[in-house]
Amino acid sequence: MGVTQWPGGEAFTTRVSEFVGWARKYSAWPMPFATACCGIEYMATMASRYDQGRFGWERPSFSPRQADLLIVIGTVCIKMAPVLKRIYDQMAEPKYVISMGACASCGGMFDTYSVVQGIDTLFPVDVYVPGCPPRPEMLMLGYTKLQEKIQRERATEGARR
Amino acid sequence: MTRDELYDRLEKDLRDRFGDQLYSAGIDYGMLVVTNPPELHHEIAAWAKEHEFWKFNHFIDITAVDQYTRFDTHRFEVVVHLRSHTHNLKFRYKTLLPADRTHVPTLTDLYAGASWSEREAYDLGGITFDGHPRMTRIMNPDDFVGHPLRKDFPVKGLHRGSFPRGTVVSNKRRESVVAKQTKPKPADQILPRTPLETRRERVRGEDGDA
Repeated sequence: MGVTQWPGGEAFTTRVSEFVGWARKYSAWPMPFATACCGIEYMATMASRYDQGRFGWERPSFSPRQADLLIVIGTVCIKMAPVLKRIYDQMAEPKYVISMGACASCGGMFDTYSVVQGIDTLFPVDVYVPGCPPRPEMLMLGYTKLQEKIQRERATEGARR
Repeated sequence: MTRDELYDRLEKDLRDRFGDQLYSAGIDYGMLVVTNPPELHHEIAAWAKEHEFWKFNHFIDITAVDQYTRFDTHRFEVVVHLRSHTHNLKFRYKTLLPADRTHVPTLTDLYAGASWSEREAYDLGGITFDGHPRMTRIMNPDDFVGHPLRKDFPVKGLHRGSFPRGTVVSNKRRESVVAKQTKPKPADQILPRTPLETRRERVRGEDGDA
Protein backbone atom coordinates (compact mmCIF):
# COMPACT_ATOMS: atom_id res chain seq x y z
CA MET A 1 0.00 0.00 0.00
CA GLY A 2 1.31 3.37 -0.86
CA VAL A 3 0.11 6.91 -1.40
CA THR A 4 0.55 8.12 -4.97
CA GLN A 5 -0.13 11.37 -6.72
CA TRP A 6 -3.15 11.23 -8.97
CA PRO A 7 -4.69 13.87 -11.19
CA GLY A 8 -6.91 15.79 -8.76
CA GLY A 9 -5.22 14.67 -5.50
CA GLU A 10 -3.60 11.83 -3.65
CA ALA A 11 -4.70 8.22 -3.94
CA PHE A 12 -3.57 4.99 -2.38
CA THR A 13 -3.53 1.50 -3.69
CA THR A 14 -4.27 -1.59 -1.63
CA ARG A 15 -5.75 -5.04 -1.96
CA VAL A 16 -9.51 -5.42 -1.78
CA SER A 17 -9.22 -8.01 0.99
CA GLU A 18 -7.18 -5.75 3.18
CA PHE A 19 -9.46 -2.81 2.62
CA VAL A 20 -12.62 -4.78 3.33
CA GLY A 21 -11.02 -6.43 6.33
CA TRP A 22 -9.96 -3.04 7.65
CA ALA A 23 -13.50 -1.74 7.24
CA ARG A 24 -15.09 -4.77 8.81
CA LYS A 25 -12.89 -4.99 11.85
CA TYR A 26 -13.85 -1.51 12.99
CA SER A 27 -17.56 -1.86 12.36
CA ALA A 28 -18.79 -4.94 14.21
CA TRP A 29 -22.31 -4.76 15.55
CA PRO A 30 -22.25 -6.96 18.63
CA MET A 31 -25.23 -8.93 19.81
CA PRO A 32 -24.71 -9.45 23.56
CA PHE A 33 -26.30 -12.66 24.79
CA ALA A 34 -25.89 -12.15 28.52
CA THR A 35 -27.27 -14.91 30.72
CA ALA A 36 -25.19 -14.69 33.88
CA CYS A 37 -22.80 -12.66 36.01
CA CYS A 38 -20.36 -12.07 33.12
CA GLY A 39 -23.06 -9.76 31.83
CA ILE A 40 -22.13 -7.27 34.54
CA GLU A 41 -18.58 -7.18 33.24
CA TYR A 42 -19.89 -6.72 29.75
CA MET A 43 -21.99 -3.79 30.97
CA ALA A 44 -18.82 -2.23 32.37
CA THR A 45 -17.14 -2.80 29.01
CA MET A 46 -20.02 -1.07 27.31
CA ALA A 47 -20.15 1.88 29.67
CA SER A 48 -18.11 5.04 29.68
CA ARG A 49 -15.18 3.97 31.84
CA TYR A 50 -13.99 1.26 29.44
CA ASP A 51 -16.02 2.27 26.39
CA GLN A 52 -16.01 -0.44 23.79
CA GLY A 53 -16.88 2.24 21.22
CA ARG A 54 -13.20 3.18 21.09
CA PHE A 55 -12.53 -0.04 19.20
CA GLY A 56 -15.32 0.17 16.70
CA TRP A 57 -18.00 -2.04 18.26
CA GLU A 58 -19.95 0.96 19.29
CA ARG A 59 -23.49 -0.18 18.87
CA PRO A 60 -24.83 -3.23 20.70
CA SER A 61 -27.58 -4.69 18.57
CA PHE A 62 -30.21 -6.50 20.55
CA SER A 63 -31.61 -8.03 17.41
CA PRO A 64 -29.57 -10.87 15.91
CA ARG A 65 -30.61 -9.98 12.36
CA GLN A 66 -28.88 -6.63 12.60
CA ALA A 67 -25.75 -8.03 14.21
CA ASP A 68 -22.62 -9.73 12.99
CA LEU A 69 -20.80 -10.42 16.26
CA LEU A 70 -22.40 -12.73 18.79
CA ILE A 71 -20.97 -12.38 22.29
CA VAL A 72 -22.17 -15.22 24.47
CA ILE A 73 -21.79 -14.03 28.02
CA GLY A 74 -22.39 -16.52 30.79
CA THR A 75 -23.87 -19.92 31.51
CA VAL A 76 -26.04 -21.51 28.85
CA CYS A 77 -28.53 -24.10 30.04
CA ILE A 78 -29.57 -26.94 27.79
CA LYS A 79 -33.06 -25.48 27.69
CA MET A 80 -31.56 -22.26 26.34
CA ALA A 81 -29.35 -24.04 23.80
CA PRO A 82 -31.94 -24.25 20.98
CA VAL A 83 -32.72 -20.56 21.48
CA LEU A 84 -29.07 -19.62 21.24
CA LYS A 85 -28.63 -21.79 18.16
CA ARG A 86 -31.56 -20.07 16.51
CA ILE A 87 -30.11 -16.65 17.33
CA TYR A 88 -26.84 -17.68 15.74
CA ASP A 89 -28.64 -18.97 12.65
CA GLN A 90 -30.53 -15.71 12.27
CA MET A 91 -27.40 -13.60 12.08
CA ALA A 92 -26.23 -12.60 8.61
CA GLU A 93 -22.87 -13.64 7.19
CA PRO A 94 -20.11 -12.84 7.85
CA LYS A 95 -20.63 -13.51 11.52
CA TYR A 96 -18.27 -13.92 14.41
CA VAL A 97 -18.63 -15.36 17.89
CA ILE A 98 -16.88 -14.43 21.10
CA SER A 99 -17.36 -16.77 24.03
CA MET A 100 -16.97 -14.75 27.20
CA GLY A 101 -16.21 -16.45 30.49
CA ALA A 102 -15.54 -19.97 31.66
CA CYS A 103 -19.18 -21.07 31.53
CA ALA A 104 -19.76 -20.15 27.92
CA SER A 105 -16.40 -21.56 26.89
CA CYS A 106 -16.52 -24.94 28.60
CA GLY A 107 -19.34 -25.07 31.11
CA GLY A 108 -17.09 -23.67 33.84
CA MET A 109 -17.78 -25.04 37.27
CA PHE A 110 -21.26 -26.17 36.20
CA ASP A 111 -20.32 -29.64 35.07
CA THR A 112 -23.89 -30.78 35.57
CA TYR A 113 -26.87 -32.21 33.80
CA SER A 114 -28.43 -28.86 32.96
CA VAL A 115 -25.57 -26.79 31.53
CA VAL A 116 -24.14 -26.80 28.02
CA GLN A 117 -20.47 -27.76 28.24
CA GLY A 118 -19.21 -24.99 26.01
CA ILE A 119 -21.09 -23.19 23.28
CA ASP A 120 -18.68 -24.59 20.70
CA THR A 121 -20.85 -27.68 20.85
CA LEU A 122 -23.56 -25.58 19.22
CA PHE A 123 -21.66 -23.48 16.65
CA PRO A 124 -18.08 -22.42 15.87
CA VAL A 125 -16.43 -19.90 18.16
CA ASP A 126 -13.77 -17.41 17.04
CA VAL A 127 -12.39 -16.14 20.33
CA TYR A 128 -12.59 -17.60 23.81
CA VAL A 129 -12.20 -15.18 26.69
CA PRO A 130 -11.37 -17.10 29.87
CA GLY A 131 -12.06 -15.88 33.36
CA CYS A 132 -14.74 -16.12 35.99
CA PRO A 133 -15.73 -13.49 35.15
CA PRO A 134 -13.18 -11.91 32.81
CA ARG A 135 -12.38 -8.26 33.38
CA PRO A 136 -13.38 -5.73 30.73
CA GLU A 137 -9.75 -5.49 29.64
CA MET A 138 -9.79 -9.20 28.87
CA LEU A 139 -12.90 -8.88 26.75
CA MET A 140 -11.31 -5.96 24.93
CA LEU A 141 -8.19 -8.05 24.30
CA GLY A 142 -10.45 -10.78 22.97
CA TYR A 143 -12.08 -8.32 20.65
CA THR A 144 -8.67 -7.07 19.50
CA LYS A 145 -7.71 -10.65 18.68
CA LEU A 146 -10.91 -11.00 16.73
CA GLN A 147 -10.07 -7.80 14.83
CA GLU A 148 -6.75 -9.33 13.83
CA LYS A 149 -8.58 -12.40 12.62
CA ILE A 150 -11.08 -10.35 10.63
CA GLN A 151 -8.21 -8.37 9.05
CA ARG A 152 -6.60 -11.59 7.84
CA GLU A 153 -9.74 -12.80 6.10
CA ARG A 154 -10.13 -12.80 2.35
CA ALA A 155 -13.08 -10.66 1.32
CA THR A 156 -13.90 -12.74 -1.74
CA GLU A 157 -14.43 -15.96 0.14
CA GLY A 158 -18.09 -15.29 0.54
CA ALA A 159 -19.61 -17.23 3.37
CA ARG A 160 -16.80 -17.76 5.77
CA ARG A 161 -17.58 -21.27 6.82
CA MET B 1 -51.95 -17.58 72.86
CA THR B 2 -48.24 -17.98 72.53
CA ARG B 3 -46.82 -20.02 69.70
CA ASP B 4 -46.03 -22.94 71.99
CA GLU B 5 -49.61 -23.03 73.19
CA LEU B 6 -50.84 -22.83 69.62
CA TYR B 7 -48.61 -25.72 68.60
CA ASP B 8 -49.82 -27.79 71.56
CA ARG B 9 -53.40 -27.17 70.58
CA LEU B 10 -52.74 -27.86 66.89
CA GLU B 11 -51.00 -31.11 67.74
CA LYS B 12 -53.91 -32.14 69.93
CA ASP B 13 -56.43 -31.23 67.23
CA LEU B 14 -54.50 -33.19 64.63
CA ARG B 15 -54.30 -36.22 66.90
CA ASP B 16 -58.00 -35.97 67.72
CA ARG B 17 -58.91 -35.81 64.05
CA PHE B 18 -56.49 -38.36 62.57
CA GLY B 19 -55.60 -40.44 65.63
CA ASP B 20 -53.41 -43.43 65.07
CA GLN B 21 -53.16 -42.82 61.35
CA LEU B 22 -50.43 -40.28 61.98
CA TYR B 23 -46.95 -41.75 62.25
CA SER B 24 -45.69 -38.97 64.48
CA ALA B 25 -46.25 -35.39 65.54
CA GLY B 26 -43.96 -33.11 67.48
CA ILE B 27 -41.89 -29.98 67.60
CA ASP B 28 -38.79 -30.12 65.40
CA TYR B 29 -36.51 -27.11 64.95
CA GLY B 30 -39.18 -24.88 66.47
CA MET B 31 -41.97 -26.01 64.17
CA LEU B 32 -44.70 -28.60 64.47
CA VAL B 33 -43.84 -31.51 62.19
CA VAL B 34 -46.26 -34.28 61.33
CA THR B 35 -45.49 -37.45 59.43
CA ASN B 36 -48.28 -39.34 57.81
CA PRO B 37 -49.09 -42.03 55.24
CA PRO B 38 -50.05 -41.01 51.68
CA GLU B 39 -53.73 -41.66 52.39
CA LEU B 40 -53.78 -38.56 54.58
CA HIS B 41 -51.83 -36.33 52.20
CA HIS B 42 -54.86 -34.57 50.81
CA GLU B 43 -56.99 -34.91 53.96
CA ILE B 44 -54.62 -33.03 56.25
CA ALA B 45 -54.43 -30.08 53.87
CA ALA B 46 -58.21 -30.06 53.42
CA TRP B 47 -58.76 -30.24 57.17
CA ALA B 48 -56.22 -27.52 57.91
CA LYS B 49 -57.65 -25.21 55.29
CA GLU B 50 -61.31 -25.68 56.18
CA HIS B 51 -60.91 -25.79 59.98
CA GLU B 52 -62.90 -22.92 61.42
CA PHE B 53 -60.34 -22.09 64.08
CA TRP B 54 -57.02 -22.77 62.33
CA LYS B 55 -57.73 -21.54 58.79
CA PHE B 56 -54.44 -22.52 57.18
CA ASN B 57 -55.11 -20.30 54.20
CA HIS B 58 -51.57 -19.84 52.92
CA PHE B 59 -49.87 -22.60 50.98
CA ILE B 60 -46.11 -22.06 51.27
CA ASP B 61 -44.44 -24.94 49.50
CA ILE B 62 -44.61 -28.56 48.51
CA THR B 63 -41.47 -30.45 47.71
CA ALA B 64 -40.10 -33.97 47.53
CA VAL B 65 -37.14 -35.49 49.33
CA ASP B 66 -35.32 -38.60 48.20
CA GLN B 67 -34.06 -40.41 51.30
CA TYR B 68 -32.80 -43.23 49.08
CA THR B 69 -31.50 -46.04 51.30
CA ARG B 70 -31.64 -44.13 54.56
CA PHE B 71 -34.81 -45.82 55.79
CA ASP B 72 -36.02 -49.35 55.24
CA THR B 73 -39.66 -48.33 55.21
CA HIS B 74 -39.78 -45.64 52.59
CA ARG B 75 -37.71 -43.80 50.04
CA PHE B 76 -39.57 -40.60 49.12
CA GLU B 77 -41.05 -37.95 51.37
CA VAL B 78 -43.37 -35.23 50.18
CA VAL B 79 -43.06 -32.19 52.44
CA VAL B 80 -45.79 -29.56 52.70
CA HIS B 81 -45.61 -26.25 54.55
CA LEU B 82 -48.80 -24.40 55.41
CA ARG B 83 -49.31 -21.10 57.18
CA SER B 84 -52.30 -19.61 58.92
CA HIS B 85 -52.49 -15.85 58.58
CA THR B 86 -55.06 -15.80 61.39
CA HIS B 87 -52.57 -17.12 63.94
CA ASN B 88 -49.30 -16.30 62.18
CA LEU B 89 -48.44 -19.97 62.50
CA LYS B 90 -46.68 -22.42 60.21
CA PHE B 91 -46.65 -26.19 60.31
CA ARG B 92 -45.11 -28.88 58.21
CA TYR B 93 -46.29 -32.33 57.33
CA LYS B 94 -44.32 -35.02 55.64
CA THR B 95 -46.02 -37.70 53.62
CA LEU B 96 -43.89 -40.83 53.64
CA LEU B 97 -44.32 -42.86 50.45
CA PRO B 98 -43.88 -46.56 51.20
CA ALA B 99 -41.52 -48.67 49.10
CA ASP B 100 -41.29 -47.43 45.53
CA ARG B 101 -44.52 -45.50 45.46
CA THR B 102 -44.04 -42.19 43.62
CA HIS B 103 -47.50 -40.63 43.47
CA VAL B 104 -49.75 -38.69 45.83
CA PRO B 105 -52.97 -36.74 45.31
CA THR B 106 -52.63 -33.17 44.14
CA LEU B 107 -53.36 -30.19 46.37
CA THR B 108 -54.21 -27.89 43.47
CA ASP B 109 -57.93 -28.29 44.15
CA LEU B 110 -57.36 -26.67 47.55
CA TYR B 111 -54.51 -24.29 46.80
CA ALA B 112 -54.04 -23.09 43.23
CA GLY B 113 -50.52 -22.03 44.15
CA ALA B 114 -49.51 -25.65 44.56
CA SER B 115 -49.50 -26.12 40.80
CA TRP B 116 -46.00 -24.99 39.94
CA SER B 117 -44.47 -26.43 43.11
CA GLU B 118 -45.95 -29.82 42.30
CA ARG B 119 -44.63 -29.61 38.75
CA GLU B 120 -41.22 -28.79 40.17
CA ALA B 121 -41.40 -31.78 42.49
CA TYR B 122 -42.32 -33.91 39.48
CA ASP B 123 -39.58 -32.47 37.31
CA LEU B 124 -36.74 -32.79 39.79
CA GLY B 125 -37.95 -35.51 42.15
CA GLY B 126 -40.13 -37.65 39.93
CA ILE B 127 -43.20 -37.59 42.16
CA THR B 128 -46.45 -37.49 40.20
CA PHE B 129 -49.49 -35.75 41.63
CA ASP B 130 -52.77 -37.44 40.77
CA GLY B 131 -55.36 -35.01 39.48
CA HIS B 132 -52.97 -32.19 38.69
CA PRO B 133 -54.26 -30.26 35.65
CA ARG B 134 -50.93 -30.28 33.82
CA MET B 135 -48.40 -32.69 35.23
CA THR B 136 -45.42 -31.85 33.03
CA ARG B 137 -41.88 -30.66 33.50
CA ILE B 138 -41.51 -27.06 34.52
CA MET B 139 -37.78 -26.28 34.46
CA ASN B 140 -36.00 -28.94 32.45
CA PRO B 141 -36.69 -29.30 28.72
CA ASP B 142 -39.65 -31.46 27.83
CA ASP B 143 -37.43 -34.14 26.31
CA PHE B 144 -35.25 -34.38 29.40
CA VAL B 145 -34.66 -37.90 30.70
CA GLY B 146 -34.70 -38.66 34.42
CA HIS B 147 -35.28 -36.65 37.56
CA PRO B 148 -32.14 -34.79 38.65
CA LEU B 149 -32.64 -34.52 42.40
CA ARG B 150 -33.02 -38.24 42.86
CA LYS B 151 -30.02 -39.67 44.60
CA ASP B 152 -29.36 -42.22 41.87
CA PHE B 153 -29.30 -39.61 39.11
CA PRO B 154 -25.78 -39.06 37.74
CA VAL B 155 -24.60 -35.52 38.42
CA LYS B 156 -23.62 -35.00 34.79
CA GLY B 157 -26.96 -36.19 33.53
CA LEU B 158 -28.14 -38.98 31.29
CA HIS B 159 -29.03 -36.79 28.39
CA ARG B 160 -27.71 -33.51 27.08
CA GLY B 161 -30.57 -32.19 25.01
CA SER B 162 -30.94 -32.09 21.25
CA PHE B 163 -27.79 -30.55 19.91
CA PRO B 164 -26.48 -30.59 16.35
CA ARG B 165 -23.56 -32.81 17.26
CA GLY B 166 -25.72 -35.15 19.29
CA THR B 167 -24.23 -34.97 22.72
CA VAL B 168 -22.10 -32.46 24.56
CA VAL B 169 -20.25 -34.78 26.85
CA SER B 170 -20.16 -38.53 26.91
CA ASN B 171 -21.53 -39.87 30.16
CA LYS B 172 -20.96 -43.50 29.42
CA ARG B 173 -18.55 -44.14 32.26
CA ARG B 174 -20.76 -42.51 34.84
CA GLU B 175 -23.85 -44.28 33.62
CA SER B 176 -22.30 -47.69 34.12
CA VAL B 177 -21.09 -46.83 37.61
CA VAL B 178 -24.52 -45.62 38.58
CA ALA B 179 -26.29 -48.59 37.08
CA LYS B 180 -24.43 -50.92 39.43
CA GLN B 181 -25.50 -49.01 42.50
CA THR B 182 -29.09 -48.53 41.48
CA LYS B 183 -31.89 -50.81 42.55
CA PRO B 184 -34.27 -51.84 39.78
CA LYS B 185 -37.16 -49.39 39.58
CA PRO B 186 -40.32 -49.07 37.51
CA ALA B 187 -39.91 -47.38 34.16
CA ASP B 188 -39.98 -43.62 34.15
CA GLN B 189 -43.55 -42.45 33.95
CA ILE B 190 -44.17 -41.13 30.50
CA LEU B 191 -47.09 -38.73 30.46
CA PRO B 192 -49.37 -38.12 27.51
CA ARG B 193 -48.44 -35.08 25.46
CA THR B 194 -50.56 -31.96 25.62
CA PRO B 195 -51.76 -30.42 22.31
CA LEU B 196 -49.25 -27.58 22.74
CA GLU B 197 -46.38 -30.01 23.08
CA THR B 198 -47.54 -32.03 20.11
CA ARG B 199 -47.62 -28.90 17.99
CA ARG B 200 -44.20 -27.84 19.22
CA GLU B 201 -42.77 -31.21 18.30
CA ARG B 202 -44.25 -30.99 14.84
CA VAL B 203 -42.72 -27.55 14.34
CA ARG B 204 -39.34 -28.70 15.62
CA GLY B 205 -39.30 -31.81 13.48
CA GLU B 206 -38.62 -35.43 14.25
CA ASP B 207 -35.20 -34.99 15.82
CA GLY B 208 -36.32 -32.20 18.11
CA ASP B 209 -33.70 -29.86 16.70
CA ALA B 210 -34.92 -26.25 16.84
